[in-house]
Amino acid sequence: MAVAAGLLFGFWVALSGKLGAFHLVLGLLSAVAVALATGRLYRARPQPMPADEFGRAPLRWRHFLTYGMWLGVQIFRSAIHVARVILSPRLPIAPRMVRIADDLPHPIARLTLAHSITLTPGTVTVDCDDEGMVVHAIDPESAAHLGSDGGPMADRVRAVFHSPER
Amino acid sequence: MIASLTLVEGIGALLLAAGLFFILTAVIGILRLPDFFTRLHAIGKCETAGLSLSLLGLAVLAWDPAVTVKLVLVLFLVFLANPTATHALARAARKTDVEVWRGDPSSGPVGDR
Repeated sequence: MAVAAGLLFGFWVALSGKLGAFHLVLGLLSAVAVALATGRLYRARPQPMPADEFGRAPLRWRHFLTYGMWLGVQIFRSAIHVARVILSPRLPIAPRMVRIADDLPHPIARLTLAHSITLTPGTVTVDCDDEGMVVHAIDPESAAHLGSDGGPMADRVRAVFHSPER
Repeated sequence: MIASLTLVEGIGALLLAAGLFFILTAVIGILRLPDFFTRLHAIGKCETAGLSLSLLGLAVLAWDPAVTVKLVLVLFLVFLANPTATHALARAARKTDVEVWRGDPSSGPVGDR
């Protein structure tokens, strides 16, 4: 926790660029307060990502980067999609809850899929449990795109995390 | 020098205008959409895009490394925090049985409830 406070204080000084006593004391107090408030988050050790059957690292960085860029574009496509729905006079929505089954092996891969569903057009991930995810779709087309198992997006996430092919 | 400065200002202003358009659309969406979950779409998507574009516009307008770096950091925070907040709200709503609006009876639930 002291390490966290130290890092946060360093971050504060780097961003503020002010070295007067007032700003330093303020930064120190903030860093300690944030470290105390978030300390228990660092203690929870996430389960490590398992290597695949060939012993390769679980995360493929190149795929990860292209995936990140693809996702960055999706958020704007998604906003344009919702904006069209909202601004269309007849408000063309037919919302529904759908359940998808995902077979991703690791919590971080599942988190990535859940976030991606929220960031792509027409769908928001509502809940996530042992059997899969619950997704709210604003129209049938958006729901159909996910299919019953996450569709092409689950395949993209699978590729990023070196998961076994289906 | 002056010409390039106005080009930068023009790009910044365009990004800000696009950002404000999406934020305005999100507000209209809150008013027009029928239930909690559909309104989440307006906030989760339109507002994230609107806020990102506005921050990007401000980062370009500031045109000063110290300020721009900070704004880009805020931009990353928005990208991470906004979908997370959307999940948290949606999950809380589902757990407390907030009703899902289905205007058309034929658009019944698929799989879940």
